[in-house]
Amino acid sequence: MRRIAPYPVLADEVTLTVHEVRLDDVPLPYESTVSERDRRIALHLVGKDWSTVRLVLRAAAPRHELEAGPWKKAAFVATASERRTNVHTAVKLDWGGPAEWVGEVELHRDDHVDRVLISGHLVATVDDVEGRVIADVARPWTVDLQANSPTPRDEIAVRWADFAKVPQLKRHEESPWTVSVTDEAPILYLNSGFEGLRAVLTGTKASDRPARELLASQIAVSLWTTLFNEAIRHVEGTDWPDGWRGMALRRMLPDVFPERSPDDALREVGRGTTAPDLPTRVLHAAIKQAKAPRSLANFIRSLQKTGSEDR
Amino acid sequence: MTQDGITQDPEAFGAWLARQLRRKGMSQSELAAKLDVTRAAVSAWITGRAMPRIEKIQAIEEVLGLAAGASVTRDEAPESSGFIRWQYRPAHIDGGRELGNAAAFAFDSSLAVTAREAAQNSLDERFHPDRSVRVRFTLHEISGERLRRFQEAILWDDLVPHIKAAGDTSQKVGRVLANGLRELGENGTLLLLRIDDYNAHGLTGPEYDDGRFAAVVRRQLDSHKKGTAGGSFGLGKATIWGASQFGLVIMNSTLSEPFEGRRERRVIGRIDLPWHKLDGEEYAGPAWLGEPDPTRGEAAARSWWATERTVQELYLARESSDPGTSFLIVGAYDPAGEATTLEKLHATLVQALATNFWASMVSTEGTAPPLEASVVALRNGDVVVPEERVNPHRYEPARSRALRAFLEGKTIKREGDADVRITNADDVVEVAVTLRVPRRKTEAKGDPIEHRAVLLVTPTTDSDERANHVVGMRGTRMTVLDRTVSRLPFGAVPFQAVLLAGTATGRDLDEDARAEEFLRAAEPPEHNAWKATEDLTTTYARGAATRLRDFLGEVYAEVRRVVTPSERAASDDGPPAVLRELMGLHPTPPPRRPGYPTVRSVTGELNDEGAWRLRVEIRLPEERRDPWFLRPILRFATRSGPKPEARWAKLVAESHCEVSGDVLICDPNERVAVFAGVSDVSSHPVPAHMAMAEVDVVQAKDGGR
Amino acid sequence: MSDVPSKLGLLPDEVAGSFLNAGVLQNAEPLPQNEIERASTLIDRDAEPVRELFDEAMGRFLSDERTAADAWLAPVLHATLRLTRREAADSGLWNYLALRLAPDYVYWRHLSREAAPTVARNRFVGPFHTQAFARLWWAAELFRDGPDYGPVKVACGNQDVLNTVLRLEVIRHRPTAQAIIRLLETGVVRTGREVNALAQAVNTAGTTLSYEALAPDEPRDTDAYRDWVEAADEAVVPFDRLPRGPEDGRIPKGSVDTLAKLFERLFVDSPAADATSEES
Repeated sequence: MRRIAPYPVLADEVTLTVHEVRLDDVPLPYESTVSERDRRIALHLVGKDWSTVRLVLRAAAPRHELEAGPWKKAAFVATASERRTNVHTAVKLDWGGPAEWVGEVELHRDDHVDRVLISGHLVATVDDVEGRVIADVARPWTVDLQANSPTPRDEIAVRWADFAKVPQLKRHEESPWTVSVTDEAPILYLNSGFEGLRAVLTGTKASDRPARELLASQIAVSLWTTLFNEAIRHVEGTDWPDGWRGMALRRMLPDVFPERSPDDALREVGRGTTAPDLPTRVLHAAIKQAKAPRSLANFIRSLQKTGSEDR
Repeated sequence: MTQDGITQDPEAFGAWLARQLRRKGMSQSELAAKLDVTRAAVSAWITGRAMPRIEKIQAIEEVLGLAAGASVTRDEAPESSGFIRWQYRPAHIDGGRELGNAAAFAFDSSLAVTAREAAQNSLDERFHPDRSVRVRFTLHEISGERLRRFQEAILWDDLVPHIKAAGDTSQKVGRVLANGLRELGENGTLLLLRIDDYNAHGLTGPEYDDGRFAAVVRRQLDSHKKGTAGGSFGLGKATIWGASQFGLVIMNSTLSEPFEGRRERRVIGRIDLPWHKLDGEEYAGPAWLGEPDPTRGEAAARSWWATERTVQELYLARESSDPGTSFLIVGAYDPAGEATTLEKLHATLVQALATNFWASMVSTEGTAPPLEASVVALRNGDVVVPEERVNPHRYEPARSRALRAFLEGKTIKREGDADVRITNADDVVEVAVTLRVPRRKTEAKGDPIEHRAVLLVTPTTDSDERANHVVGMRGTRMTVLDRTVSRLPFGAVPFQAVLLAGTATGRDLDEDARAEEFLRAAEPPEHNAWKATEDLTTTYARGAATRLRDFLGEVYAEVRRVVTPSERAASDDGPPAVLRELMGLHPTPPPRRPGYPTVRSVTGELNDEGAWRLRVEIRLPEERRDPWFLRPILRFATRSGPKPEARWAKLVAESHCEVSGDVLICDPNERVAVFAGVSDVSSHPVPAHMAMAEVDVVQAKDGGR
Repeated sequence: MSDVPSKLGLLPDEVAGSFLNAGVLQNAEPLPQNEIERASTLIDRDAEPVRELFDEAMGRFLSDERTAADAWLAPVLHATLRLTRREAADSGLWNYLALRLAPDYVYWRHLSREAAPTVARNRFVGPFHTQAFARLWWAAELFRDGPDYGPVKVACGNQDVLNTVLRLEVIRHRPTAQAIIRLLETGVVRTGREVNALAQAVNTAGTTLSYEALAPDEPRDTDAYRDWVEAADEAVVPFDRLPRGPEDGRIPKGSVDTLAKLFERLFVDSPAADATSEES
């Protein structure tokens, strides 16, 4: 897929950086709060009531390209959005130098739940048309309200629970694991009441590693199969579903339909006229996600190694 | 010896006098006659009730043909006067034959077993309770001149014909004897194994009547041990003779209580041959090396008080005057046939001592351990393997650690109902396990007595090959039980467990003593289990076997409980690391060379009608047979949600493809296809200059509309 | 209703979903109220005032004018059940309303009119733009102009606004939302198809135009909003006229004007829209 714009746009991208984070006017320590590499801001909010967070932002555009091109009155609009609370605030930043803009974005506690996307776009007048979007921010930032340290969280949540003691899991209490799916996130529940499961999965003995990895990949195969089947129910037409479903599909569809582009594969599923071998394809894609072939091979090899004379 | 010594030691004088009469073959009556005293008076001297006057003493010396003052010095040297010799027991009148030491074949013999039994005996014989029993094993291989002198000292030449005659049989014992002689003849070497103990009682007591001496030297199956200190059938002694190819053992004792007024260097030898016939005479087998005792007939020989020189020649010189016994096993070997070299024998002995007695060798600050053991190996007087003091922490590190922690009161105990767990590599967990000891059949009926045995559990290293064992012992601190614990939970830390039962718990309770008795009765001769032996079932009320089984079952269950890793960790420690790498939702980068056609470039502009005129390059993946059927898609980007599609007004193939309806048929042998298209304005959701256009290709199943 | 709970609660998605079998969705099987109550976490909000609204709605509107109930209910629900956006983002609350407090309303409003009537699952447990109660509350929150719920009424008057426009991300920029409603008010767009076409045009053009830059918004006064939420207990919400919303600032009129003009042009110029308007 390639895009084409009906007016000249910037070839290079705009960079957005966060200079400072202030919690109710108190600056937070940079290193532990801001991760430039992951583009994440972690707010240490454990047990603390705050009402406002201010982010000091700086946007930089490729200066030569900008000055040489047909764009006039370029300005940067910074945006703060959260899908879950339907928040989308926009602030035009102030000129901070040639091809640079600075300013602040304010977030209010009442307006946010989980993750706020900090992004923006470069706006200019092109061919007498005002307000043209001429560049996007290639690497937007995320403010995590529930994180404790700046690490990526784009993964499926895994939680231990004693199924027999949790009302919504009680009916699965005989099972070692189950998957729970909501719009927000899929969760893999591991049954701490299942004897020995925790010990196997969290064990550290090197000799047990093949068994451990085999078990993990078995869990992952069933997990990814379930997630895929759930996610495709939310495909309408040619749209990628929001949130985790879209992410899960983006990971799996290339393996389900390796001969199609992801968008093409999405159409295929969305159309409803699915390939007759779809379940098999899904199974193999899940096996691949779970790295099952490798862990099974290791396990088999480890079996062949033991079995020598026991003392 | 001073005059005082004589007057204050009538017993010693009496014993001396008796010995002299024996040697001379003179009876008390005969002496009385010669001295012109009553026989009763002589009897009184001999029994130590009275002492003769100085003039009579001199007369006695004369009559007996002894040097003047001999009664004072009691200089004996019976050896040089030829009084010491081998006495062979004649065959049974009833014609019964023992074809070997029956006791020696009661169980599998090996050098390790010998070491175990010998050391156990020594432990049981501890004299001063506050000091250790010291046991020393000396392997000494002699040859050449040394060998010859030794053979002289034990009157070997006298033995050989008997050994040969006894060896001339197809029975097992005979083969061993014949083998021994053959090897001696071929190699010219003889291996002596000497076992000393110090701070033990020594072979006290009379020559024939009940006492330690008689039990060891004369009786076959006699457990002299009283009380709870031992309790076996005395089979252990047999293994000492079993360790000699010739069944030949010489003993030297320092006594804890005097016999015949003397303590040091009570020496006697014994050889256990099977029935044999020599020069027309039949012999039952056993023979003793000692002083003949005519009072008991020809067959008996007594111990004698040897000179220092004699014990030297016999390789039996003891190192200190502490009481105890030294056994010299002549022609020592490993009956199990495993150890052959001096080094291997040394190692076998060390290992056997460590394995069986580590618990008795564990000491704490300020307290000596019950047992100290060492092993040394020599050849013709030169050290071949230096003396090694067996260190329990070296051979049984985890178990020794556990026991020491218990003795020092540094174990971790269960509090209330809480589970007790191992957290550090050095932790020693202590748990109580109850044994219900039933009443003896001879006692009045009553409830079982509850004994709380102590179970210690401690982690061991991964490399410990015998990890996950429980070893159990009672007051003797000898390992009786040694079992692997089965059905361990996954992830359990490798451990060693020690069960202290009976009086091993170190308390002074009646329940412990009863439990000690109970468990002793539950031990078979090999001392390697607690089970329903005949002794147990005959002594104790019904249900004894069940109680024992329940106890052991509870022990294993407790071990499992202690080593189970905590299922419910207090903190929810997040996803297991092994799963995390499989849970990623972040996008994976697309392949650089995808296996499907992709749009490589789009260029163009809007025409006057507001339609897009586009030139599109398609990248085709590697060769295949069939042509590609692709449908070009024109879409418009949106802020969110679905992207509306527009239609093509015109599609024109430019290179390496054909247009058929709204489908492009591309040449499978080419890497690039190019087409041009014009959009259908009426299908635009907004005027084209208001939207971002996107071009993509999808595969068309059908051949085109 | 057997019993009315006295407090509101939160019912997690997975649990709520587990109660929705075919029988329940067809209103052939009752929802196990006791079990649902047990599975919920109660919060400190009275249920009575909220319950009352649904009774009133079902009383005011006949069954065959039920879609009209949305326009009445949305503002009063927003004014009665006063929530911060954060609180409203918790789907557990909406699940509780649908399964415990007022399932009868869900059936009344959303039971399909066909041979085998059934309620779509996502009316009970679903995204904010589809769930029976969440959609009304969020429509009110996203379409009001400060304290003025007037635009909400207009928006809810057209089902396609609720179905299509409400879920567009672009309407979170308030001037954009208001501009779309302005076109409805002024009759530039009328039918459902027109609304959809407008929505698509706005959505598409938004990739080339920055509505945020062309029509800047004033930040909402979150403190004022908070005060308004906390005054819920004393508030009296009228039923016969539009209630008054939070005084957290009006949307700049100039921005709305700019976008309304722009959108009208987009709509009129839109080739596809032309086609539909010709057809209708």
